[in-house]
Amino acid sequence: MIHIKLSKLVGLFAENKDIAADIRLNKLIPALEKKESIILDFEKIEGATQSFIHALISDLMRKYGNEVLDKIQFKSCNDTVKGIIAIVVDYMQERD
Amino acid sequence: MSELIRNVLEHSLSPHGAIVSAQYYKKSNTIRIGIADTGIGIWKSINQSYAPKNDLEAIQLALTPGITGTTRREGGTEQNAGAGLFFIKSIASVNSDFFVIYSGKAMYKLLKRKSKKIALHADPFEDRHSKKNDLPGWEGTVVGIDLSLDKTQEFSLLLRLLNETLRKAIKERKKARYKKPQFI
Repeated sequence: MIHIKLSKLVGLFAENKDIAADIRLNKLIPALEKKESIILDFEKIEGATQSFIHALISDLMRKYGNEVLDKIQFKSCNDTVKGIIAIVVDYMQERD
Repeated sequence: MSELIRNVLEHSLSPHGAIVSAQYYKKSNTIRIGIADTGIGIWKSINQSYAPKNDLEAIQLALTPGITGTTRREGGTEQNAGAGLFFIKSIASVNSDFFVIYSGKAMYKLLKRKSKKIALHADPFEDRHSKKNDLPGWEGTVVGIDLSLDKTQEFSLLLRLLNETLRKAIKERKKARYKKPQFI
């Protein structure tokens, strides 16, 4: 299992899509390829944009299917971040 | 703000970046933001994946959730969902704030809600709005938004409405693409 503390990488407001893509490509995909599960830790993060969350997880859902959500846990999200993650997860499943 | 600026960087292909201005007005407790670029404009950007007939139709598509110039694929690309401008317009819509977008010869302006009922629409032309398609041309895109801090609606309400509207829009597009066998 890998545990990624996002605030160390993105600061308190998660909005940089380039960092999100970097995390996806260099941490999340390699972990999933090794069948590892993932904790995305949003502790201290006050807000996130839809673009950031989209860049972080949408391609994983496309590549590995919706089952990838069984491998990913979102930790310490405030209500705003939970809402944004829910939007992205919902529209990515709706498109199928 | 971040979403708006990213839009410019990703879609405008502007060689000069953009001019961003923001000011806080104490009396009205409002933040007013304007972003202007001299990039390819919305028509050319959207025309990479869709075929808008004119600048106004391109603006309509750009404000529709799930529509992006980068792909026709539902859910967007790994970097782009086509939801940025829709989110920004929705923030203005929910709070009954000013929002305007101008590109090429077209302009779309969101008008204040008359009813108390808050609803978001995937099609921007279903919101109260004014539009023009014969203005002096601007080779690029201009976006203006006012954010009244006094009457900011619960963010949770906005998120719920965004989610519902996005899902509905995707469902409707799926339905429109659904083909039946042709029996002759």
